Amino acid sequence: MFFTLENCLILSVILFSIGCYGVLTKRNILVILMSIELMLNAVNLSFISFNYFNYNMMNGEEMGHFFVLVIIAIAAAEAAVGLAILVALFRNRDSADIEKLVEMKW
Amino acid sequence: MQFQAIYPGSLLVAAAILVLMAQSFVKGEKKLTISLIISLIGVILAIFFTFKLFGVNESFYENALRVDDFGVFLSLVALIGTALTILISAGYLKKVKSYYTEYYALILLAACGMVFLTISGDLITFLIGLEIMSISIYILAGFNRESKKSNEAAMKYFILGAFSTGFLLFGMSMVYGATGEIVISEIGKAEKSAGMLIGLGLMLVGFLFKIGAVPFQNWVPDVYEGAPTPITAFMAAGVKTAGFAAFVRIILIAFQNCGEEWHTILQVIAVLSMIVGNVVAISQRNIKRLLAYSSIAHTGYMLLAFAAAKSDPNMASSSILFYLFTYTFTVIGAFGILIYSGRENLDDFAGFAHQKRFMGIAMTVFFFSLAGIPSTAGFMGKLFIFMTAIDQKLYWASVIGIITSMISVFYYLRVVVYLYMKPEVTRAAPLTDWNVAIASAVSVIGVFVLGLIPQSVIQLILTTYQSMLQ
Repeated sequence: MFFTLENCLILSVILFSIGCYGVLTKRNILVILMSIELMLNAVNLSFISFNYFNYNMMNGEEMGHFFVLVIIAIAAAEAAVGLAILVALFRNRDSADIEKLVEMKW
Repeated sequence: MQFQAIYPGSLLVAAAILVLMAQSFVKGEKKLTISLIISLIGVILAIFFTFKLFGVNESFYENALRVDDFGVFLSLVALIGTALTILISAGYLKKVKSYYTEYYALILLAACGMVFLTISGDLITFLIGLEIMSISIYILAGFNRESKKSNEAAMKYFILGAFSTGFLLFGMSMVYGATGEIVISEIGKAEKSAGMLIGLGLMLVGFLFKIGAVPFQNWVPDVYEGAPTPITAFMAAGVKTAGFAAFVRIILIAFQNCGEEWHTILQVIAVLSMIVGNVVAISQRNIKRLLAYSSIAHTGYMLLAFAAAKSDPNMASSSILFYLFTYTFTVIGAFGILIYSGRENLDDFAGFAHQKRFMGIAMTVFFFSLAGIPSTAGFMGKLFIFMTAIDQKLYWASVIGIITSMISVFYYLRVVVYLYMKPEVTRAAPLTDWNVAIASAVSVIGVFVLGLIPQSVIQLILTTYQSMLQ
């Protein structure tokens, strides 16, 4: 059977790692924002699969699902603010390259 | 009955909405005055209703909110920090001629997030409080839209903040998977398991980022330097207070069965934070940046007390609470004077104390308090922390802490030397601004009251850990 808790969690960890890799290595801020979304969605997957496989939803143990709804709302708010900051940044610099953010160091 | 738990938060939101509405009725400079008055009234009412929550010690809304003395005390500290921030912001906005009153609304919303963060009883409330606070601060950090530095600070803070939130959430999902619970006190009843430990590790990453401890400290100096100065003060005082509130509560209550693991990790991180913060601060010429590195060091001191929590959690959490209270007054006062003088570089401060005598004295008091000179609040805070650490036999960590704290005296006193003993640079004296002056006066009084007669505060604090367990 392919559809098990282990496999779902492995998928979630893989997605999380891809997101992590994207944040750490990509240069374009838009790609970084997408990678962050990917990390949050990996978290959603893990919450859902824990809730689905381990706890009885008929019994009132559906907190994992609530948590996912909250995370989706928060991810939306975060993306909105992130894009707004990016727009302000782009107007000043004409570039969305993270390696050019060197106004301040040490 | 349960409404009383959300009065402070709701009042702050109501004040924020009023500030946003008020700007369609008044124009120009009046807008700033009206928003200032509305937000101050909102915060003071919130402080009043928070006071009334002392001694309640109950859970509300199906355990979503846990109102106990610990959370209420830290809400109070965060709200005092907010009130002082609003006062110094008034001076700042007038100086940079910015008429965007959304600024006050965002500060109030961030304060609302802090209040809910400090009294959160389950992981969902905790997450929502954290995000309300963080998202408002991301925007505030980039508030000077024309300034490249401010943009850069906001972007760096946002990316790293969202990144660390990802880790925090993944940790929460592991804890949820291991225990099936999201209520913090219920998680604490679960046995130690692999899932709990993975969750602990991932959540520690998120927390240590928020409070700016060493492996995750790189954003601190850049964001502190680039953000508008009052927001820097707000981050150093309010965000750190709220972050520590949630950190202490979750680690001490939810992970009480995993004690051995986090005890050692926190000790190492505390030592590294103290060393990095204090040593790198020596070479800084920009005072905002200097205070950023010093804030990393102060986080290290608090984590040192936290590392002692294994056998005596009461003393550990008490000394962290007291330190946060002293640090709020000290750091907001120091940033307030940076705003008042309109300077940031150390060289520009040469002879400042001769131009503005009282402000010079106030700045000396704040830097003495940061350095931990006796009779100031900073001394009592450090005494409390190192006493706790030595009682719990963390000798090496305490010795390193005391040595680095001596190093820190050098760069704090250098600022005072510049204030008094360097020849005056010919710069126009800053205009008198009463809001900043009031905030500085309150902070000076706070520093001396906590430094000379701290008994009643300490007595209050010593009972907070018990209230968390009830």
